[in-house]
Amino acid sequence: MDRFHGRDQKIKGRVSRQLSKNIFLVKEILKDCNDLVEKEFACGIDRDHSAYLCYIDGLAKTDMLEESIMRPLLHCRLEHYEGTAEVKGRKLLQFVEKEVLEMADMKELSQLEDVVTQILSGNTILMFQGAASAIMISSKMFPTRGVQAADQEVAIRGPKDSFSESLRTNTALIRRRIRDSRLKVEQKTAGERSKTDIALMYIDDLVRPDILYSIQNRLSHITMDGILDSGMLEQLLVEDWRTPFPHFQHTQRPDKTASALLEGRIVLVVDNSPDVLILPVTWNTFFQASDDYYNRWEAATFARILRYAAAFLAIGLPAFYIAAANFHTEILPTSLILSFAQARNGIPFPIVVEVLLMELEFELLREAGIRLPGQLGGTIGIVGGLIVGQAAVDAGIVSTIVVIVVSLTAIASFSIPNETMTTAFRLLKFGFIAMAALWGIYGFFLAWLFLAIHLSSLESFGVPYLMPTVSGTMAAGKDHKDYHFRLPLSGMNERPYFTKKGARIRRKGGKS
Amino acid sequence: MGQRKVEKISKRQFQRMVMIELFSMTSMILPSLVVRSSGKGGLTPMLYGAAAAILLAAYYLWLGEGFLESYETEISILPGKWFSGIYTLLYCVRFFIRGLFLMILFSALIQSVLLPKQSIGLILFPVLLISYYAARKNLSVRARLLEMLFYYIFVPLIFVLILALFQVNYEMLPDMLWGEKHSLMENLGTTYQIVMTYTSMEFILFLYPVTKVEKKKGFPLGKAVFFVILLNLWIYIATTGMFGTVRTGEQLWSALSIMQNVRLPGHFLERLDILFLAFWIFSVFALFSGYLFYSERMVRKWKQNGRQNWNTKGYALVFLGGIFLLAVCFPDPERSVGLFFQYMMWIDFPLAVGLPFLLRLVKRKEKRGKKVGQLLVLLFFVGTILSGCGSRTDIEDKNYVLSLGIDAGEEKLFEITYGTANLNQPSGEGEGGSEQKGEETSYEADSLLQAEREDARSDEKELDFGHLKAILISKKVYQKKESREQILKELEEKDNLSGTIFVFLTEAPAKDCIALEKEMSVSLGDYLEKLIVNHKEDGRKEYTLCDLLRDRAEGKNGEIPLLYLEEKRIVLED
Repeated sequence: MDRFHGRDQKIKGRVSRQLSKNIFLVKEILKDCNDLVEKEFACGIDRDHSAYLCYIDGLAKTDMLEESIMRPLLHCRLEHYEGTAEVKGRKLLQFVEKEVLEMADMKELSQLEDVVTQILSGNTILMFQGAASAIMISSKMFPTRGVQAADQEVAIRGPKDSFSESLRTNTALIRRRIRDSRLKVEQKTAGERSKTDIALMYIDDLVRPDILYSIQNRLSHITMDGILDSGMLEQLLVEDWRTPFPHFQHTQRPDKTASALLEGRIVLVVDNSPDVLILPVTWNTFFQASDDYYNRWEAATFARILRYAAAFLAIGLPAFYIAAANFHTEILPTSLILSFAQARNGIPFPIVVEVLLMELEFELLREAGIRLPGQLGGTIGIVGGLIVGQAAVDAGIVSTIVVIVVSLTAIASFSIPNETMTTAFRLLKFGFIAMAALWGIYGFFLAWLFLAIHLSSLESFGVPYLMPTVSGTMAAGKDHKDYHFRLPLSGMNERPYFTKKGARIRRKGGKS
Repeated sequence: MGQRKVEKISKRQFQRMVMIELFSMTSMILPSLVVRSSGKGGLTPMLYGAAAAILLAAYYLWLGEGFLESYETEISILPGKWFSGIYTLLYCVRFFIRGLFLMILFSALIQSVLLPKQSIGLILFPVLLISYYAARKNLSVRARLLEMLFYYIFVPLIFVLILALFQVNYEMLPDMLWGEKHSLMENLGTTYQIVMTYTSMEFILFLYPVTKVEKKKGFPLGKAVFFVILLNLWIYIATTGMFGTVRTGEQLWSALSIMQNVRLPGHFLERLDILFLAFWIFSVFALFSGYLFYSERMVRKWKQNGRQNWNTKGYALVFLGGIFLLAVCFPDPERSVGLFFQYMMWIDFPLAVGLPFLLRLVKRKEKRGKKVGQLLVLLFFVGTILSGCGSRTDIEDKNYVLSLGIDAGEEKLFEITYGTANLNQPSGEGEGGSEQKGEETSYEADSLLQAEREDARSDEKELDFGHLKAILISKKVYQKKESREQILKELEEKDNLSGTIFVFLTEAPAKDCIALEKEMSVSLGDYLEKLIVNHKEDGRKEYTLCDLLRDRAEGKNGEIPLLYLEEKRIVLED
């Protein structure tokens, strides 16, 4: 906190009628900010009005400033109005806004806090001697990488575009898909220093008012100096932090976002983040992929069932192997268990240690693969998979069975279309391994029981996390049409439980 | 945010909660209880018991309708702080005793079937910890959990019960169900015992006012009760049909015994009963956590009403800690059952029926320690790992017994031969693909246990009977009554033996038959199993350990297939 900022981290004071005072304040507040571009000049054809213009270099469109602001200001005739100083100033601003500036998007600002925020947001500020307000001219031009293909949520069929770091581009990508006047975009700012723009998007007649109120309320209570990504916002808005399971769905796909909006869900677009947040969520939503709805229902259903099976394997396969091999060999067919036993002959470590070694090796590979530059990413696969894996087996450190178990677990975890959920599964896997190592199949099933209790206790904005497996009757059992099975689109006449009561009909009569 | 959530449960949740809580208690002991009381002729009291259970459901329904608030709230607002305190205390003690009994049986069973080398304390610890976690959640969470567990409990069970129908001995079934006639008084006595097991129906008093059904609450309750009654009848018929009345009476856990003895189609999984048993754990957990959950709610309400400033976490810890200590100190399930039945008959059931009735009459007239807990859990895990208490043995450190031969010994009573898999043979080298050729080891011993001890002294690997396919008993041993009885008794007491193991008598010494394994393309166990299974259509009847023990209990002589040796080949008698 300095002499300009208050306890609430906001700049104190208003725009003064004395231009020199305003210039002094801006210069002092933005002292040592060498990217600030300022121009004091006399405008009007008679050069009889003092003005001040400033913006941040690199964030504003300078061509537009030259063409639509500076040139008209220098060539127009500005009058000297009669009346009090206040009246004179207001009339001057109104004239400039209406008659001189060749811009549509502008706004009068009277608080210094707003003036500085707008400068730092890439807009241009124009101030006149005698006017107690400044004119904010929209001139944002952030450096962006444009609309690129989704690299994390790849779909074979369907659109390929993805969100970028620009909030406005992202909202445009969504609006392009839903040209409905009832699609609302509420823009808010969060972060005391970062002043990050957040867009709250929803379809007015589909969204549940209680959920909308809840998220609006939570957004207004965020206190944090900087929000640099949607991931940070997610953590600040989360209901229960004592869980590894995500309470928001994040996606980089505009089509998935549009689909969520059409289900009455709410979308949070955060500036500088290529992922948007969708709420509320259920366990089920993390197993849905975009192309489920673009492919035929039989294929989509098969893929869904495969993903649910993959989730069980990702969490429990190593633990089940430990339980079966260490405690209850009788579960597996004799020839299989004998084959396992032969493969383990000569391995110096107990099975638990062997599994943990391989799991940790895989986690290291995964971490290294993410950090390595793209060109070297493939190398780590070869080093880890072929050299370390094969060498470990040949050296008798681990058995072939464990390599198969760990690989299958890894493949299963990659089949789940949500990275946050996969991370939760990866963490849980170690808990399951510990339980199975201590209590065999008994511990293994107790771990599932614990997980079931935990998941039953989770809610996302009042919606049970395990819906529609539990509380399915709240949606009259209709949410099962898009659950383990994805019924033909012609049969999915109702929207899910997230939608406002009375607005759940998606297709009237089920006729196309 | 920050608002207290209103607890409501759906009709489906109510129905499933009642089904699970009711089934968990009744299915455990009902067939054993009926057979002990009525012998061959338990179907009539079973039907009487079903009718009585319906009446009991109607009674609780009537009581529930008289309460505007949930049962615990009604108790907490009784006039007189001490009156409601005594009421709460009575329920807490009742639920504690029931929970204790349940955990004694549960831990004993898990120890005998799944974790024979682990201590009762270690077995109980995780389930009590999870119960504590579950009890800290609200009723909606419990309702969601049980709604979900419904599938995991009943789908495997019904699958097992369908398979059990193929194992029932239909010739003797009518005799088992109607064989003995009993007087009305005797039948009523058994009926009382049956209806006693349905007392967990009193949980509906806690659920009734929070269920989101305005009218006809009796309908979901009726469906739940009928479902459980039908399932219990099915289990009773399957149990007596598979094991006979004598063995059913000896087995406390009927549903579980069925799981251990059904033969599963295909050979994808060798013994699926271990997995089914794990699903059954869910059912016991649902009931046990219910005792803690509902009693803690009563204590909380009583405390709120009395404006007392202590945390109910303490109550939960005392409840669970007490059960832990008592179950560890008195782990005798047989004695517990006897005591528990007496307690249920004379104290618990009258209280379960009378207490809510009394409350209804009264109403008519009116018109913490978190960090300590975390530390304890941490210490437990560290202690567990450091003490090496895990009873695991790695798969390669076991000798997989595929066939067991029992001959008469020269110096001692028996000569026991173990036909085991040879793990040193590279996999896939046998003619039968991955099938293993075995080795045999013989010991002279006076009992099976002694032979196992002899093996433990001379072989670094542990014997594993989980894959035992066949037991070969020499005819000489079987014909000698004393030897036969001892062997059968020992086989019966070995909980880790599956009831589906084939049993054969051998004319030649069983050891010689097992020695022939070297000449075979597959192990002897597999050979004999295939010999029986692949030639069923020729009228060859399989005879399993379950059949053998049942016939022994019923005093019958079963037709055990006889094996001959013919020119280094094992031949089955026509």
